[in-house]
Amino acid sequence: MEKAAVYSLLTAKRYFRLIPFTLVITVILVSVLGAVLANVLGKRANSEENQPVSIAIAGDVNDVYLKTALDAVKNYDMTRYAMSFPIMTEEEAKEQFKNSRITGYIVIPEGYMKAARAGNVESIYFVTTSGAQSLSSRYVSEMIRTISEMVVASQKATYGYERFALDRGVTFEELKPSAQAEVAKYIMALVNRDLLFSVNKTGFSGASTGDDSVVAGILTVFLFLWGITCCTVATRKDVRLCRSLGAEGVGAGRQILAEYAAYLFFFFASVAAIAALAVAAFGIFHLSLPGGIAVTGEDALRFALSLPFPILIASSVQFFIYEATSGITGGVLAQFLTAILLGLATGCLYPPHFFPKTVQKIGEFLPTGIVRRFISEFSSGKAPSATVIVSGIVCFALFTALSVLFRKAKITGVREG
Amino acid sequence: MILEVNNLKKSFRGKEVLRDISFRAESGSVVGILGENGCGKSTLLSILAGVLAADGGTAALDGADVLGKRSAVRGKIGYAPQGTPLLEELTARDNLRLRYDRAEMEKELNGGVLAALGIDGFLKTTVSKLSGGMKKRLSIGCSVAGRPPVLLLDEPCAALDLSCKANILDFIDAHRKSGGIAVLTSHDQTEIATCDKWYVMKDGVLHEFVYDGDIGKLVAQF
Repeated sequence: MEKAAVYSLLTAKRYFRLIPFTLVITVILVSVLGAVLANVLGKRANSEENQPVSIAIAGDVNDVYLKTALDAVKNYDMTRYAMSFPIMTEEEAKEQFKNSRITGYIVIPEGYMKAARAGNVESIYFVTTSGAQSLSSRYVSEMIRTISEMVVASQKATYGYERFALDRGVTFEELKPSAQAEVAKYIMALVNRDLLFSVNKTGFSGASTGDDSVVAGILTVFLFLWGITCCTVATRKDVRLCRSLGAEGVGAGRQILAEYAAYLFFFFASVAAIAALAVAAFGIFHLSLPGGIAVTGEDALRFALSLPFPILIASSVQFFIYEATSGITGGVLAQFLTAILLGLATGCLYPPHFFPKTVQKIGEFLPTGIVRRFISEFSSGKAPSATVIVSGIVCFALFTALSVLFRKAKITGVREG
Repeated sequence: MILEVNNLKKSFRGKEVLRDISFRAESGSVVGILGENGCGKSTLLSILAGVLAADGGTAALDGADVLGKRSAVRGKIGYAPQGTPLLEELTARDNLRLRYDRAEMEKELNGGVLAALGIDGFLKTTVSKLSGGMKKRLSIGCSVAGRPPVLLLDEPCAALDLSCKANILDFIDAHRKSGGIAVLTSHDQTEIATCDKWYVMKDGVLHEFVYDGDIGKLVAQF
């Protein structure tokens, strides 16, 4: 067998002898990053934007049709987890609004329904804060407009239907149950209009909450920190051995490729084992992420399948760091700082929009930025963009070439006795 | 077989380390390169081993270029650098596997050079658990894979006990007797006594010297 291939196999053997150490470091990494993830997702789940918006309804709410409509809206599939509509008096609503217990309140004017039946529509008014341009307020405004239009349209339809039936000799008493049934049907058609179009449910990773992006960020940092597990072998690069191999025809390039192949194989094997455990845990035991975010085995698998390309990038960076540093302390410190600093700069640990636009743009092309974007795009079911793939390949080639240059310098550049 | 080095030059960051180094070694001889620490002895061996590139001069083994592409001399020159360039986490056998194919290794372990170096006694031991002497023997065992006729040995007996030293010196002697060439660097009196030809390196220049067993005369050359 080719000497470089034997060297690669023996290097892989060195890494696999590290398994107990790798396991301990991996458990620590997963625990720490899991805690970070729990904290971030927990905060997001408890943040103001994710709390149900509470809109009080006050005024004349005693009409049977209006009550039906309000009940329907309260149970409206799309809003019941995001919004609540407690019914209270206008005074109570004012008080609660003053104390910020509710986002706003709707006041239905006295005799609104009666006037509507007669074809005279009065305005329902909505009281809220001046921050009406925020997403939640705009959403609330939209809902109010929908309710208003729905109620008015329902009443107009009922009124027209009633007139039509009475003109044809049907008594009011005979008409009442069927009219109510028609109205109810109409309301249900309105409130369930989301059923009129199909929703392609892609699970957790397809959600638009941004949680998938948080998970992609944490996974990126995990991949970049994982290099620490290899420190005891990867930092032990004996220059004399490199020289000796060089003399036997295994030059700097082949040495690096042989060592890198072993490193990559060990990286793949370790992450594959962790990913298999994660897929089994989410698939069989139906675990959830903090904040009640349900993750299926399919979601976990999608994330796992997104990892090979990122591993290629992360490993080339880690390998270069180990090549450029000497000693365990230097190597581990450099790995740690690189992962954390690059993670911060590219929005893996902190929302990137806090940084200036230029930093955000540069961050997209840093190794962690490329990896985060790839995982995020792949796991959400999209084909990763050509920019991400090309940037990843360039990054991999660049760091591998740098490793070869450093090895060459190490072999030939040091003055001997 | 003749190893011929002519006007070899090497500089590091503008400082000349080797200046017009020339020497000749013939079959069945051991050449000793002596000199102070840091005088350039190891650099000379590294260049001949193909690890470092020379800035000028020539080196040839039976006429075949040693400094260029080396394809003609591949497998003919064994190099044991200072220290022990071994994979510490693996066993002695694993380290030998890097240099030997399986059949050749078994042959050398059964009465061959590896047996002569006493490596068969600690084959399954992890290198990090071996003594300095065992590591050195293993390191030399690795460098003689394929039985190269020319051996470049950088301080082969440094910091070894008497028994290990004797084992290695016996091996060098056997190599000479089999018609090989050994070029070694040394500070050790016993090693120096094993040589047939001596050179003292001073200020990057190699001076031939006849060693008659008087270490005082030798030291005066440094």
